Amino acid sequence: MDFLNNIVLGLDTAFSATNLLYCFAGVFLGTAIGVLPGLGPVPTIAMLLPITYTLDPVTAIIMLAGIYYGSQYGGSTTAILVNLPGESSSVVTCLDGHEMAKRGRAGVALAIAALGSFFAGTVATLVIAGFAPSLANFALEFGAPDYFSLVVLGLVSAVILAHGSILKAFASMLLGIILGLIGTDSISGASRYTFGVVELFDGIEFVAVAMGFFAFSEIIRNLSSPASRDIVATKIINVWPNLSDFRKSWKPVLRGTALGSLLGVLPGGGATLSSWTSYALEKRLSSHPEEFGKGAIEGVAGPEAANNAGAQTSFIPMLTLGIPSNGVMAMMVGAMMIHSIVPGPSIIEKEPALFWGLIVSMWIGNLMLIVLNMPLIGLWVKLLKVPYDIMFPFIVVVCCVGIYSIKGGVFDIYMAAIFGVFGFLFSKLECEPAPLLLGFILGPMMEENFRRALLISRGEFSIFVTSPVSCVLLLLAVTLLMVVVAPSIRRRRKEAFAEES
Amino acid sequence: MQLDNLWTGPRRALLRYLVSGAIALGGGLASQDARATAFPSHELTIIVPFEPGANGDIIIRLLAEGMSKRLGQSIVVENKSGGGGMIGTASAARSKPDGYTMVLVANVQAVNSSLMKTVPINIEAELRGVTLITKGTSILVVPAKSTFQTVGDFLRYAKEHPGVLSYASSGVGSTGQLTMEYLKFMVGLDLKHIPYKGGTQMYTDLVAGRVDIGFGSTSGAPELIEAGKLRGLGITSLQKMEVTGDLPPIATDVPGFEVEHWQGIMVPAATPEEIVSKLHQAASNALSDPEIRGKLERLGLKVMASSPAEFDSFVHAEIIRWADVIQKAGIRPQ
Amino acid sequence: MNLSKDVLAGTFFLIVAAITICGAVGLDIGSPEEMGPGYFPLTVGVLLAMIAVAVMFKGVKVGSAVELSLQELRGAGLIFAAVFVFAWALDHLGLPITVLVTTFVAMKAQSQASLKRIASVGLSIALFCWLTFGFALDLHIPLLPSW
Repeated sequence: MDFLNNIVLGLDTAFSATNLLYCFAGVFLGTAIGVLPGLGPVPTIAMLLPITYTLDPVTAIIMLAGIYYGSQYGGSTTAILVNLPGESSSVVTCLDGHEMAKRGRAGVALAIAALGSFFAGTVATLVIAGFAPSLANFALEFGAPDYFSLVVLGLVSAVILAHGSILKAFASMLLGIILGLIGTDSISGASRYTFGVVELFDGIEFVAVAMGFFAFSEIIRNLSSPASRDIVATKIINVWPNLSDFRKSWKPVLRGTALGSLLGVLPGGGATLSSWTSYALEKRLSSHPEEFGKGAIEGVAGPEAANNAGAQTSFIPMLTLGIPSNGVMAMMVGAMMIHSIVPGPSIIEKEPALFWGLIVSMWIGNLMLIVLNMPLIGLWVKLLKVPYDIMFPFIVVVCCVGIYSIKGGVFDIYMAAIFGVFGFLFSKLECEPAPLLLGFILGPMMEENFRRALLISRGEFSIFVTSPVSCVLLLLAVTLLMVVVAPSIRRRRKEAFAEES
Repeated sequence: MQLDNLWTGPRRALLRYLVSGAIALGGGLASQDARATAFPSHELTIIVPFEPGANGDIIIRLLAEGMSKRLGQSIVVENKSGGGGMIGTASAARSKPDGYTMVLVANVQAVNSSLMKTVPINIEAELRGVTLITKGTSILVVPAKSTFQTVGDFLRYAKEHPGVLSYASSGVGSTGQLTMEYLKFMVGLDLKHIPYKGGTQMYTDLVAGRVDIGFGSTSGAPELIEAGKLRGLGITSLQKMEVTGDLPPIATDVPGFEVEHWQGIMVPAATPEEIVSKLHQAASNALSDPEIRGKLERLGLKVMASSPAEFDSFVHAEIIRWADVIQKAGIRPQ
Repeated sequence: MNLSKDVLAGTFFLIVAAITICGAVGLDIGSPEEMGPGYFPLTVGVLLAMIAVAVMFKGVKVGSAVELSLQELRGAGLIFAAVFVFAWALDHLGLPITVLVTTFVAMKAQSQASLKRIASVGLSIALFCWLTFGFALDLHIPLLPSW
């Protein structure tokens, strides 16, 4: 009964004309900045903070939240259309989403991503409404050793999802970890591999790496083989998904939603991990894993659902503990504090209208997103028909502006150019950039928690197996690795025998 | 009315562009002189050298709103984070000394002036103070299931068991670490430092009891204390504070122990006196506005306006104090 | 065979590993209990070196040569040049002019682009950027030239 009362209160709050208007403004703006590469939700929210001073706090939070999940949504659009991951979680979407676009199925990919995200958003909203406090306790269960093991699992799945040589994928991942080392060591404060450059003290900007390795090297690939690019433009087959697409997608969406809802709760990269884990899971479960990386719809549906569910549940630690799980959440805490609301365990009782209004508005926002985006799909697909000699300078310029906007400086643009060179080298040497990016994102988390775990245990390595969560995760990682490596060793042995005889 | 707000920004941008374009076309020399007469004649900027949403960011945003009303010009808050706050501070110091660019300077930068091996800016030489804005306390917290009920319990146990307890901080060079190092050095304790990256995981591990003790902020800890997830032992200010209720000052057990984080604004050192005093007036006026004051106080902060000269000498004293703590605690410059 | 992709990739990884290890040795390594900042980089560096050698070995046994056309190199070079130019010019020339210059350099990557087309595309993108980033979003980005 209580639950019903709360939902009624939420509906009441969210359905006021002002709140609906600002919710729409939020998701609209979010989609727009999500589509513009590099422009992330953090600078946008920072830009809009002054506007929220004059607003009712509930309205302000509803709008800011809309910007956040709207941008998660928009990010996959550029990933699919131009192979440009705007957010760390949309790197996975590039893998098969852009391949689908290349095969003339951009519309299908966009539609499945949108529908999957909507479903995931709806479920995750219900999850927050029903289980927020208990999920927050789940987040508390995760200590340093558990985070370390979770990252190991994530990295193992990155190596597994490589479709080329596992050895090279492993090397790329390590290279990513090394790139992630650059900057100030968070445990000792020493600066590593910065060569005295102050701009490097905080490490390399993710967007610079992603643009270099994905967007810029994709442009070069397209320029060097104009013929294949023209095919993309002309060969747009079905814009909308058909029955078989839906049949292939619904299970990955369900699994992705579950994974995302759970992992999204973990502070610091839970949502990103969930989309990668979902991809690895789908590839493992698929009856045709060889299609992954060549435009498999399951490789879009699962991770997109996971990513969106994770974005939604990442509100939980902030709303229930006052602990922001990422940069955007920290901004939200800031926005609330400007209105003298301190988020924390008591917010549900103290500000019920805010809590339940936000939750209901999330669902409304997701609904708005789908209404807004489905008609846009046709337009996006038409965008692919724009002559490439107009498209590519446009992408280059917008990327540069996007990178500039992150810190308001040109340093990261230079970095992006350098990573572009590496990206080109990588594609020439048939190394995959995806494991590198994941290594880059998760490497710092891995080292930090590894060292912190050993600091806490005073040098006892057994802490990684005595913690039950960590132990299970490590076992899972080892099993995954065995499953993948064992057949390839067996195959190689067979090939060797065949050669000998 | 609120939607109006949404559009004044862009419209202003267009105007600014057209106006400055016209000036550029007509030869901008004459306009330079015209501008100097009435300060401020256009938009001002306060650089916050930290992430948006950080404590100092919120303080500046609250203040900027009030200052802009009094100066009759809008103030843009620009986040230029990185390098422990030193990158944004350095870029502000090297902007035109015309009063249009201000910067948030906090205890973090004072600490980093001694903590960094290569310091990109000399705050005392390159900046001059406008005003101190706020000071605030930190809260000594332990997990709810901890056996320590008071500051005395903790100090006694830590003294008898050197090297056994571990303390959490939100990072190397953070207020939390420096405060604990200061306490260690005053009482003669041996605690193991476990640094985190920001408050998120630090609070999680404190609540779960994976670390023994740590200093929390007034924006994060009180809620967790109230919910019974953490226990507060004491505060670092000399007087009891409203947000922290009955928590006693640590100085009761450790006479003379006082650490407060602080925030203020500065401008490039070459900024003329009359512009500084105009900015100072606007800022102190804004700080006496009951609404702004109330909002800052509800965040657990003490509003402490000061004269430009007072702020300069305060910054000087703080830099020396932390250099001393860093040296005595044996924290190596990185 | 000498320039097989895997041999080159292995060499590349080996160089990175060497740099990483050299950098790590200069840092405090520490012990498992008190890990210094160099502990983890050293581990990762050594691991990468081992894998790099394995990749090279594989490349020597079976490997396909790298294909690289002149046109590709030209395209790659000019795209990077365009990004570099953007970074360098933005603070001096302001957004619209920088965009024009960048577009010019980038479009040179495609050999068949005519000057007229370059100019029209450049102007439209510059206009778009000014309207979107300078005007509508009001990003703090330099718009006018200043030296």
